[in-house]
Amino acid sequence: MQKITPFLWFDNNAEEAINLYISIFKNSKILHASRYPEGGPGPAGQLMTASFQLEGQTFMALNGGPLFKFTAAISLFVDCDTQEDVDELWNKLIANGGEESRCGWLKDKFGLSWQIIPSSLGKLMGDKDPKKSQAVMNAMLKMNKIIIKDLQQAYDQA
Amino acid sequence: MQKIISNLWFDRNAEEAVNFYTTVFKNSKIGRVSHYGKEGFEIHGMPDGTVLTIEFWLNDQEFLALNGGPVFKFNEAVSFIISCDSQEEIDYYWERLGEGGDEKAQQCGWLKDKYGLSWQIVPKILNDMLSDPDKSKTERVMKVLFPMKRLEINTFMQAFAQE
Repeated sequence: MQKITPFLWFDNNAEEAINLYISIFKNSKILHASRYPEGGPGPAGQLMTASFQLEGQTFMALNGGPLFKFTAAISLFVDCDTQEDVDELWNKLIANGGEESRCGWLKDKFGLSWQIIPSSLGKLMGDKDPKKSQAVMNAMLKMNKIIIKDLQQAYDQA
Repeated sequence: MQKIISNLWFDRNAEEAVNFYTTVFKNSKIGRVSHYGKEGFEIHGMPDGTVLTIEFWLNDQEFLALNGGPVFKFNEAVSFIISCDSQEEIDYYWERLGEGGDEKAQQCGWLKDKYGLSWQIVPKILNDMLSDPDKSKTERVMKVLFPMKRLEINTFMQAFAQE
């Protein structure tokens, strides 16, 4: 069991969100779900809390009402190996009402922020030559979705 | 590297916060640190050399921290549950993480730390009790849960066992 579990507070659409996330990520499933009983604070039968796994990592979600909204102060950073991975996650997470943001960030239709980042970004930006790392940073700052070949080009030309 | 990593956005005190969190949790360490440079100042507005991102591990789980300016603040929409084996463990995390945080936010095992980040300090046994098929037991446990701030395992045990 994980010691620390991220807990996501939704208004009333946690179930839809969980189903979307487990359809997008590998090694994903619902572990346990509880539902509001008759006479409870939520509509009877609506999902109350659920624990679920994405990529083998455990998360929890709650339908807690409209009190709190996601902000970009906490985002989920997804480490990608290839441009295909970046493209697939980017497209699936912004679909049906999500929005692109800058530097590899996006918001999904539920307002949760994600960063879809190729592992090559960290490698190129961590280069010992400050000219190269700065050129990569500068290229990244102009992107929405991260394009690996453009980062590599900025690196090679610096 | 973990595939999905929670990223915490700080104004400018990511380094201080990461140093704090890595002293609270066991099996913690700090990894790569990146810095703002001269490039892109017109976009990010951070002085050359300011810490940009920090990789760190708490209890062998990977996290990221970012200094991004005062644009976004933590709230309860995302919190982190700490699953505890004993009352001693609950007390430890409650005191260490609660110190300097907003006391008004302390409710039902939830607290805010001094950076405004929300944590839930929860005994593992609570889940077992709340999943019990005997509804009268779960209702008694829920009833004692709601008025609590710091969760008390003994009180749950008594409510659960009471006939």
